[in-house]
Amino acid sequence: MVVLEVPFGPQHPALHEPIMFRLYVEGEQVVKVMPNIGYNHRGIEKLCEQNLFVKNLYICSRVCGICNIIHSTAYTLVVEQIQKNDPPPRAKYLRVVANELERIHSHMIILAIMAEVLGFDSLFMLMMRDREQVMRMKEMLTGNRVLGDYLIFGGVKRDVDEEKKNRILKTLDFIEERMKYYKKVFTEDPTIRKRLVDVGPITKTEAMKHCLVGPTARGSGVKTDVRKEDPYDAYDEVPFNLITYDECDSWARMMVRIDEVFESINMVRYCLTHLPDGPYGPKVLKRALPKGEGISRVEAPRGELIYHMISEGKRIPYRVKIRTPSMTNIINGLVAFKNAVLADVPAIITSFDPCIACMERVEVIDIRNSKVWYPTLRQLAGGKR
Amino acid sequence: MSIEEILNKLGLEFQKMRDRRYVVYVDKGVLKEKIKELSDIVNNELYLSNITAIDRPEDNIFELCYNIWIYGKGLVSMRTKIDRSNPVFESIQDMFPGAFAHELEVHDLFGIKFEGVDNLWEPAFKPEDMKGVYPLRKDWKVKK
Repeated sequence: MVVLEVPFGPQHPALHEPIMFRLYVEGEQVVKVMPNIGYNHRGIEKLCEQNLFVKNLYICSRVCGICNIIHSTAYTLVVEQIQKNDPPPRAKYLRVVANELERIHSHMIILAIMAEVLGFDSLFMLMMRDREQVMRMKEMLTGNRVLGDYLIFGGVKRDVDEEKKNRILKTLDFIEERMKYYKKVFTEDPTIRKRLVDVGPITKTEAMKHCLVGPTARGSGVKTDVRKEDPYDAYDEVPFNLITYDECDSWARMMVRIDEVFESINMVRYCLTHLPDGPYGPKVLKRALPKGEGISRVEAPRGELIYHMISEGKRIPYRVKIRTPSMTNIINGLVAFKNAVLADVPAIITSFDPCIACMERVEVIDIRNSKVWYPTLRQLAGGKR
Repeated sequence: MSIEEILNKLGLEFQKMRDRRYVVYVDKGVLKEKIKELSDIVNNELYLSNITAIDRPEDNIFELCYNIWIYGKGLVSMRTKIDRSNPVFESIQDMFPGAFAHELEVHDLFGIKFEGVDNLWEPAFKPEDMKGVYPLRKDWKVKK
């Protein structure tokens, strides 16, 4: 049969971010996929090598819009490793609260997008409505709905009081009720099951060989979670279960996320009720970056996120390497398209929770004279060209 | 078996960066072999977390850094040094097909060639007019 090349993206109704896949199809069956990337690469690693390490905190938290707190957590941890700076216990608990709230809304958004991809527009809208409550909780805690900028070297920037604590706990009860309903929908609805069960299978060995991380790997039965294996902040004190599913298909990957939302709700409850007393931020902000090296691993909503930083003792880091989870999940996860049907491609891609902004990390292109240049943070902040 | 015991068994000298982080410098000729041996000792219970390069123009080398996570144990950062004027290294995609994404990034942004595979292309992450320009090298300066 003739093999046809079908472009999928970079602008496509089922893709919310710019990436292109060249699908080679034989009839309806996909025989080969090649990714075409680079639409969103902003050179953040190079930008980090040119700015003060304090400013990089704000650059790194802008790598991704949805999971910005986890990026600032990873960057803060790597700087704290080099500075040998340990945050107070209260700050560690508050960081867990912020990160888990982020995980809840990140998982809710991908569940909602999956509903939309499958044709359930009302389910998408209901989930996005409920997700807004989580964004409000995040605003209460960090001061912002989306970009938190909550962390600082040696602690966090804001504390919670009793009033906020009670309101967050009350909203969590509401979210838990709603998620129980959505779990029922994803488990029992015949259309959702038909579109997801046995679609895009990845075996456990394939997941390990192809370096998949996070819910994508856990949906294939790989018992990996940075929070359990390599605990950071207060994760070694907060009880939670590692969720894995052995079905290895798109449905399993979505169910891992639903169950993780329940775990995250319990973790936020535990942290808020067991919040240690004491300071929440550093007394004095350390402004020196000694010579050294650090590697921090954290569990982002999409999987393991690594920051590797090398400092030569100057205030500007020598090298900052960012490896985001979508980088491996999207490029290496193409193995799941083997023998897939063309109509299933959007569902499989959505089941990886793609985050292209994360994957490709600012260059500015002046459209008047096609000039490409890389600005410093000061130039960006000043708004000058 | 702890990571220290595994690395001693492999006959590798290591530095402990902190808990669950180990740095190992190996010769470029034996890196692939050592990763294979490491994989056999832990029954393939590991995965390649990332590959990155560190540019050291003053020493005329690239440091290639293979970060390997051994499930439940810790991270081994295997490093080797390659010549900066002729940056070629062997690919490990036959061992870990997942190395593709990482090798593609290093190939595209550092200009390091990986032998034994033909699936890496340029420019992948860069804009189209940046072919042959490697922005993460230290001698590539941002135009102000």
